[in-house]
Amino acid sequence: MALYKSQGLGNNSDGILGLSPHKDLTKKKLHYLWSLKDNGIIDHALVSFSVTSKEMNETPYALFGGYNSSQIVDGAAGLKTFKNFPNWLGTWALEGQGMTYGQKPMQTAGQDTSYPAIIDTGSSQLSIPPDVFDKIREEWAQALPELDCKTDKTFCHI
Amino acid sequence: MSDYVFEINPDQYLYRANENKCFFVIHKCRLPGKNKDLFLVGDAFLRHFYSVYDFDQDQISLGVNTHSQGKVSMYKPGERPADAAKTETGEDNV
Repeated sequence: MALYKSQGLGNNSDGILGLSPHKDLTKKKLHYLWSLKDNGIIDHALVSFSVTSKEMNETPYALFGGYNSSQIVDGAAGLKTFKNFPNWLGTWALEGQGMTYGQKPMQTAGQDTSYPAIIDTGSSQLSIPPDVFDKIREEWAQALPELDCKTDKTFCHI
Repeated sequence: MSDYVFEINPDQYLYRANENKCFFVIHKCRLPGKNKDLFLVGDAFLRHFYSVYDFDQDQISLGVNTHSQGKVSMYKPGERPADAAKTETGEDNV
């Protein structure tokens, strides 16, 4: 499989590889995954990822056309399937329904908690809505009196 | 998320930058407008869960990656497994 360098991406580009779910069937031929399938390189229009960090001593990989059940706890049975959650960004997403810290909910009772949880392989962190973050930060501050969330706007640190 | 609980404990959401400093890898979404209420699920989550994207069925599948067995868990609400990893936060985890 060859990779190529793409320059001058336009305003409507949605990724270098273009692995977002493509709803516009008129442009199906332009989609990377469908091209692989249509050209007989893969049998199923699937892509899977095993992401790692350096302390895990494993190599991260993407697998086109299927998945590696030996990489999953309990094999294929350990895989749970969710409908892609529709969102205005047109990306892969689950339905974000809230967060708990231990057993404690981090959103106000009665608050609408149905937001897209965008799968963002380009981000190293986990970003959460501001209201939810403020609540969880209060919990951290109680547990960790030395917590500093002011001197670095990107992170809280200890 | 999506009627499932994904549980990550402090060892996974705290990153040790050096001997004296740890960072939380959970942070506030700073996107403008309606995007501010998005959850952005990045590598801090994805490195623990093997993910599959099915373009035919428009589905995402997730499973605990073998390298994270015992560190994270996923289950239906109210069905937390007895052997799920510890979730308390405290100085002992830092």
